[in-house]
Amino acid sequence: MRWFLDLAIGLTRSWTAVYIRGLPSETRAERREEIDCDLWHQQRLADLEREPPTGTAIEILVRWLAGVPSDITWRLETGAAQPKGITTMNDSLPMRIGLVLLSLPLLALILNGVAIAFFDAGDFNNSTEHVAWGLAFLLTPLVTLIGLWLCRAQPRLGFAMVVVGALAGALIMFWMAFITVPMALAVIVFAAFRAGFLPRSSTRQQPA
Amino acid sequence: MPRRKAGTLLPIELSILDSAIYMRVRGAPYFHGFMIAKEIKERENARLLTAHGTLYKALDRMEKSGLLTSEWEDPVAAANEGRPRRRFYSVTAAGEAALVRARAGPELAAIEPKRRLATQ
Repeated sequence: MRWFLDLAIGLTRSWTAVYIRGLPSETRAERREEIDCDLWHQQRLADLEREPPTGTAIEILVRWLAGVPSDITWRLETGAAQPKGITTMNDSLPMRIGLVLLSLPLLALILNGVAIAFFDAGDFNNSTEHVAWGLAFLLTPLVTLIGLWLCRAQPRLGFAMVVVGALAGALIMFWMAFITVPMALAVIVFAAFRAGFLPRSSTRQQPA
Repeated sequence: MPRRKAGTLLPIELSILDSAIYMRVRGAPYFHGFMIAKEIKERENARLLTAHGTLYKALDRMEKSGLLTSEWEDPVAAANEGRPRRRFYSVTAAGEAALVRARAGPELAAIEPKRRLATQ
């Protein structure tokens, strides 16, 4: 039952990684190390005293679960104590919601591309056409999707990927250009906001 | 954080200070998280160790309020022993005083802030 102990330790560590997200790196490292140290000592002591791993695992799980409310309140207090800096338009809740909503049709297009390329879906003359069109339908939304998610961390690369992916996707479906081109342009404008290239009209300074 | 009167200690804080002072008397002036959790479990005959969240939140709060002070162990020493480095806590004079006040009961705890105000 050693796996159960590993699972308990893994869950505790994973939870720690979740609730310390967004805190300054020093605070994150300190909390992570303290929990790691605690888990190490508990495991070590259990080994020395030849306690069954299941009992130790259960105790670790209970310690983790019973401490979750305190972890959350500590996170809220610690997070609130940090200077908030600047909340920009490209990091606002509507932008995040927009990102998720845009990702869904892109995922559907990716699945469509996979179906055409690898499962002979669609009406094409031969297998070469299936693979060629399938890859085109697969790669353009994939590049767009990755670009959208990259836009905040790497604005130039992310935005370039969105432009290439969205325009290529729109032009591939040239017979539907009256729909695909405006959609591609909308995605590009969204990516420009997300990358911070367009004016941040809703920028507000939080008091430190 | 729970609402409470200034100068009073929560049960977990009382347990930490109590156990830490007891360990100090026995020759261990510094303690790390697991060490104090184990000591509390033994002293209070508890079935389980204090929850991670409860323990480390309390230690963090007590350090911020000056009841404890902490120092990280040398990472090389920890690496040589093949384990994560420890954060060693110790009780400050303010922590000892808070424990004495808490032990003395609500009367002294209520008098102390007034006395402090009078001396300021």
